[in-house]
Amino acid sequence: MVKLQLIGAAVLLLGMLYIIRLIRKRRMELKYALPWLAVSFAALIVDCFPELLSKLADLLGIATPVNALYLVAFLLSICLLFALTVIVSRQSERIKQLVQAAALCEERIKRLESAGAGEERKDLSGQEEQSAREE
Amino acid sequence: MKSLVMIPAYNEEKNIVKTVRDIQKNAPDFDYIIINDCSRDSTLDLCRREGLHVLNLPVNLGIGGAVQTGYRYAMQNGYDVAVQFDGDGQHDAAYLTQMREKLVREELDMVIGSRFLRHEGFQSSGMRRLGIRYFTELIRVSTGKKITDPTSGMRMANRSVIEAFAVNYPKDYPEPESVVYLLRQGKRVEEAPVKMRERENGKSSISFSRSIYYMCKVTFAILIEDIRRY
Repeated sequence: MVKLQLIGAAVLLLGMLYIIRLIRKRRMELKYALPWLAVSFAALIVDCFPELLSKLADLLGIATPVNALYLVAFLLSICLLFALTVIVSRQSERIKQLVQAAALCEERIKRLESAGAGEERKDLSGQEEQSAREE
Repeated sequence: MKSLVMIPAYNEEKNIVKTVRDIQKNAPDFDYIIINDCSRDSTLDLCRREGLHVLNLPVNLGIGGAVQTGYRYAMQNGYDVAVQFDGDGQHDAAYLTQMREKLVREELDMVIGSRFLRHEGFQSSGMRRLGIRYFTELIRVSTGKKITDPTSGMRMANRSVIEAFAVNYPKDYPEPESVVYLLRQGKRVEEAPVKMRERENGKSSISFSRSIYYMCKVTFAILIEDIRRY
């Protein structure tokens, strides 16, 4: 039992260290890493004090502590997934707006460039006329 | 009256030039803009080579995002009227002037080109017509308004609708949903009879296997639209 707890604690700590490393390297945003750190920390507490789980099982009227664990783990996973779906929706809306803005800008630049080129050409032809007259 | 034809195009190398020439010939006082939705064929090259006006989306957004880009363009450039027009040769530019006359004369916010008011031209396949009839009924129950061709991609908007769509436009399968959106906001939407052609090249964006998803998604979108607050 103690052996298993030690392995669990080691895995959790390694996981948390990995998350922190990703945050340090800016490959993961702290904002989105926090839920994972919180879940890991909670799991670590339960790992250290398994009697908490038995109490929870009693409280919820669940026969075995391990089932209480599954229930909590499942609900947490669903919550995380749901939050991610909300985030994806928001991201996709933002990407859409950016892509549209980029396309509109590009078209405008092209239009201004060709208008500018037209004016330059006009200027040049004006100069030519002038020099022709001078001659 | 500054008017714009918005042509969303995804892999339309075979049809796009013809479509633009049709507009230039049959609706000469309309400007046009092609929205190239990241086509994988030579649509963009062709547009550049022919010197056509084109908005180039660097990432594929799907029909809703592409059309909305057109509405944003219309808004930024001060157009009074903007009309969606398919790039696949289905629509006939000869009707655009009539549609605009109706829009102005009856002070409407949107005029939809309908294949089913006079039952002329290509009438779509039986299954498709059944689906369209279903949306007609759904919209009638939801808003009290009969729209005979709610999936028509030939739709003309006035300035107020241009501004509304520039901010809010559904991403995929947008036509029926956006009509309900307008009706719910008290906009005046009417239909004008048009003839459409069977597309010559390319296939419909909605394959048969996806049509079930399409029906469910649009139904749900319309129901959500009913309970949305503005």
